[in-house]
Amino acid sequence: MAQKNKAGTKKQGKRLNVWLILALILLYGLVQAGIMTGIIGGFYENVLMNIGIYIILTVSLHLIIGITGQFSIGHAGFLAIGAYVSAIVTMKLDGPFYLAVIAAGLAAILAGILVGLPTLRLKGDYLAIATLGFGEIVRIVLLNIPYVGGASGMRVSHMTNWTILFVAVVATVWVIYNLTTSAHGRALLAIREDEVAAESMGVHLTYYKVLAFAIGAFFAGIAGALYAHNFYQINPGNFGFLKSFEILVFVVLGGLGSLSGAVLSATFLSIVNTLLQSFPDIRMILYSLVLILVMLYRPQGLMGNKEITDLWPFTRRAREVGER
Amino acid sequence: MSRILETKDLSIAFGGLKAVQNVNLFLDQGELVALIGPNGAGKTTVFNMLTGVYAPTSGEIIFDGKRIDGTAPHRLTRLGIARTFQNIRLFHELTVLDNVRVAYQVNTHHTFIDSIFRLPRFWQEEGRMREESLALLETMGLKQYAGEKARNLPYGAQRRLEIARALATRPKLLLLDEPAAGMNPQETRELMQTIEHVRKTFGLTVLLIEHDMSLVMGISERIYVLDHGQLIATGSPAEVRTNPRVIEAYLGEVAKDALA
Repeated sequence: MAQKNKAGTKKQGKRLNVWLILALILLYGLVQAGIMTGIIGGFYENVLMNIGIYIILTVSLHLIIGITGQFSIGHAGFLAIGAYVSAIVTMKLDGPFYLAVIAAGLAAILAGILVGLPTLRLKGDYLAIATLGFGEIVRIVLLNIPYVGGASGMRVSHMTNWTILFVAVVATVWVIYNLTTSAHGRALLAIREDEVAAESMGVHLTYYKVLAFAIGAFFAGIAGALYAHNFYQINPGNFGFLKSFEILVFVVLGGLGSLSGAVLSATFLSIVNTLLQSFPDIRMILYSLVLILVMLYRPQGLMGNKEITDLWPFTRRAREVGER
Repeated sequence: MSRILETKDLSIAFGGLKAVQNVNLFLDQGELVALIGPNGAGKTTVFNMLTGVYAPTSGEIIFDGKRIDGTAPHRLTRLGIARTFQNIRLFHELTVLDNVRVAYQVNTHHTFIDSIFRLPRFWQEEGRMREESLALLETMGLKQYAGEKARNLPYGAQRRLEIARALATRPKLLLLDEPAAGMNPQETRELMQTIEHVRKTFGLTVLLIEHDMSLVMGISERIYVLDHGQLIATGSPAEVRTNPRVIEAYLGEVAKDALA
């Protein structure tokens, strides 16, 4: 939103972009150096992987729920498709990892379109039930295919590294941000606000809903590939309803409609998750407690529907000048 | 003058309820025509058929020489029919500028690929869209609200924004569904002037729904009167005003006797 077309604000937006790119390169370099010198050990590297994968998942679901307003709770289905397709490419077909990641994304797009076309005519609760059904169908189907190991799943080599994770996270956030702050993103927002009005302003409902679904699925598929090659082992049990629900909670906690909120909540909850891993008995209790507290004191989510740039005095001023 | 819109025996039934029956109306290029009638007469239902929200049970709608009954709403918008809603349906959480820009995207030519990768066409089209939207907001006296969320606008401004948003689709035919509902006489007068002004500037044909008869007398060239789903009178404001069936529909049998 900082990029407005008026000469002044565009320049300010560009200056902000330069700083952002520098900060990202610095972050990448520092962590990479840390991993190479062993300062960031295996445990912390794994925490970083989890955070990155959850950011991709949360941001991709944010496009579907927060921006387009389509209440989908089958996101683990796309994650599973991505994980299994990529695992087949690397483990069964001996393909390179980057190809597996792309194949995972494309397979998830295909699934997104196939599921989206019939179900996106449904609204609210009905869509939620249909997408929930989709997630479960994927899980049950995988459970019954001997080629991918059935209930015992597949062994996958560890191939996800910091570089590919970093590129994937940045690409996800960048694509979703650019899409949201364009005419196409506004069409999606209009659908969230009022379908009847959007349609009579010339917004093709099915096209845009399926578009959001397909792009969301694409990134969930990529997250699936990264997930599978980080975990050594995948089985259908990893991709149950609880997984979908977890991602949904991340999106809601971040604040519906806030991209930076989605990134923040994914980071925050992944860390909470990891910290609580040492206390398996009370982990779920504490996790629920954190959620209850947030919902009590911040029901609109961490960020509401604001972006982090709205809170930053310099960019806020730039934005107001741009808008008025 | 060429005929821009014509309906032939337009009817719709919801189950056993015949909401609109055999409505024949037409609009010539550049006309301002009003569709009036008591509450529940079927005016909005006629609008919903003209804009594709409902498909008529029988009859034809011809727009610009083509049959359009049963066409999806977003297609009709592209063909050049725009509307406002009786109960305001703005995109409340979006800014005023974004409300108009949503409607403007009908006239843009960049794809989502251009948007995602910020290709040159994105900057061109978004820049043009922004300038034209701001110009339109200025015409409608809404420019000072451009960065404000639509739900924070005063009532009258929300009504004007509905019209601005419809105009952004660059329509040939504009359908206004009770644009003055809930306004005081002063605001109504101003709104009617705005409608006149917009019609001249954009060369529009306007079909206006209103149930307050006195309101449309001043500005419409012809009036159709709808009652219980049927057209009961048509003609110039003066003719309609003295038509006994219209008086009966509005004031009831007793009043007609009293006037007689």
